[in-house]
Amino acid sequence: MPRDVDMEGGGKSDWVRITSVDGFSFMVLRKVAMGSGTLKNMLSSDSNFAEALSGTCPLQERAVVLEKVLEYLAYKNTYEENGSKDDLEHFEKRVPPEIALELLMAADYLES
Amino acid sequence: MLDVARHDVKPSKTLPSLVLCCQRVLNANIDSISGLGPDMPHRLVKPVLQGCSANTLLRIERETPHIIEDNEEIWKDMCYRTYPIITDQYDLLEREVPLSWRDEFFILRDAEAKRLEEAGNRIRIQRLEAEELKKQRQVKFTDRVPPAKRSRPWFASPTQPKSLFQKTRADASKLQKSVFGPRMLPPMPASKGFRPAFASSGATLSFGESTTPVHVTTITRRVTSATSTKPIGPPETASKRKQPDSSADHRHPKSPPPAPVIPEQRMQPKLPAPTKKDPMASLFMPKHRAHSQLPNAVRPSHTIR
Repeated sequence: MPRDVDMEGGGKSDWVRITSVDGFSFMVLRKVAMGSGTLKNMLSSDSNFAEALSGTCPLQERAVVLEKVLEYLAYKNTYEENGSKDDLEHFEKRVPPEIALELLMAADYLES
Repeated sequence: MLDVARHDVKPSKTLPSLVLCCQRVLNANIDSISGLGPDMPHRLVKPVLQGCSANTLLRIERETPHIIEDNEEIWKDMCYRTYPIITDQYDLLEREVPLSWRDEFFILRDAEAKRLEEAGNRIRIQRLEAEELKKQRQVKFTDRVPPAKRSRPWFASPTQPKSLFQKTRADASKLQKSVFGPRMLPPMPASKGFRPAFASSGATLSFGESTTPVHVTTITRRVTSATSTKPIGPPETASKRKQPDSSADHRHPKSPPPAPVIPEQRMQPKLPAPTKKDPMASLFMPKHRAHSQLPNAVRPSHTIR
């Protein structure tokens, strides 16, 4: 049930929209997006970035890459909550080598 | 999808960052990397490049030229890793550090390849030689009779039963031939000189040894025919020599005394030497053949008493 974030900043279950350069948009929980330092800064209410107001972050990444990034963020969010009790499934297995290079660059940019 | 080697410590407390994950994936697929792209920061790719081979690194560098300057360190590490002994020498001997580790690496690689090739060649040659030796010892099948070492046309070879007596005879005959060898020569080229030599030898005989049983009487007639001093010399000396010793034989002087004075003086010192020899030997070995100055038409005859 994605719904746009309120202009006032909303609660914890806010969703943010991340758009890719080729027109795809992804909705993720704000909490998840905060896993990325860059996104966090972009969406923070403290800053005056336009993204913070609109709750949407247009990134200059391909959708494929972006999807993987967000997948990682979700994975990260999930396992951080659990406190690593479970056997982590290595995310490396989920990274297709074809995009690994671009993913690397995106990950670096997003400080994840 | 991927089989990632779990060489890293499994992060139990913290999740591996996406960056780290990506780097691991890239490491696993290094050989598939063709290029990096213009934006790739070096620090991100460094751990990946350090783990790749020299060929891959070279390929990547070709595709991503902007990263070359950052790769010097990587090349250095590669040098140390691949050729530890040689590169260590740089520290030990304090040799000048190569400006380009990259080039150095390839120099080392070529040198290594050459050394391996030489060693391989050496081993190969040794092996071939050993095989050759072995082949020579092998039993070969052939329908050709090998060449006989010694052909025997005669059943009783004359050289075989060589008794001691025969050997000594053979040696003696050889010696005789060698000793009397020169005798054969004079008659051929200078037969003319041979004759007067007889006269002189005959003269020496009578001059030196009065006790010899052989008395040689030489009658020379050539004095009258020749007018030059040459023919006069030897017979006159012969006659002159006889004069002091008139007891042994008789001889008629044919020339005036003053003429042959000079040759006489020359001849005299040489005469005593051969007279001491065996008369029989001197008969066959005219020593004064070279000194004879007689012409061609002289034919003296001598008789031996």
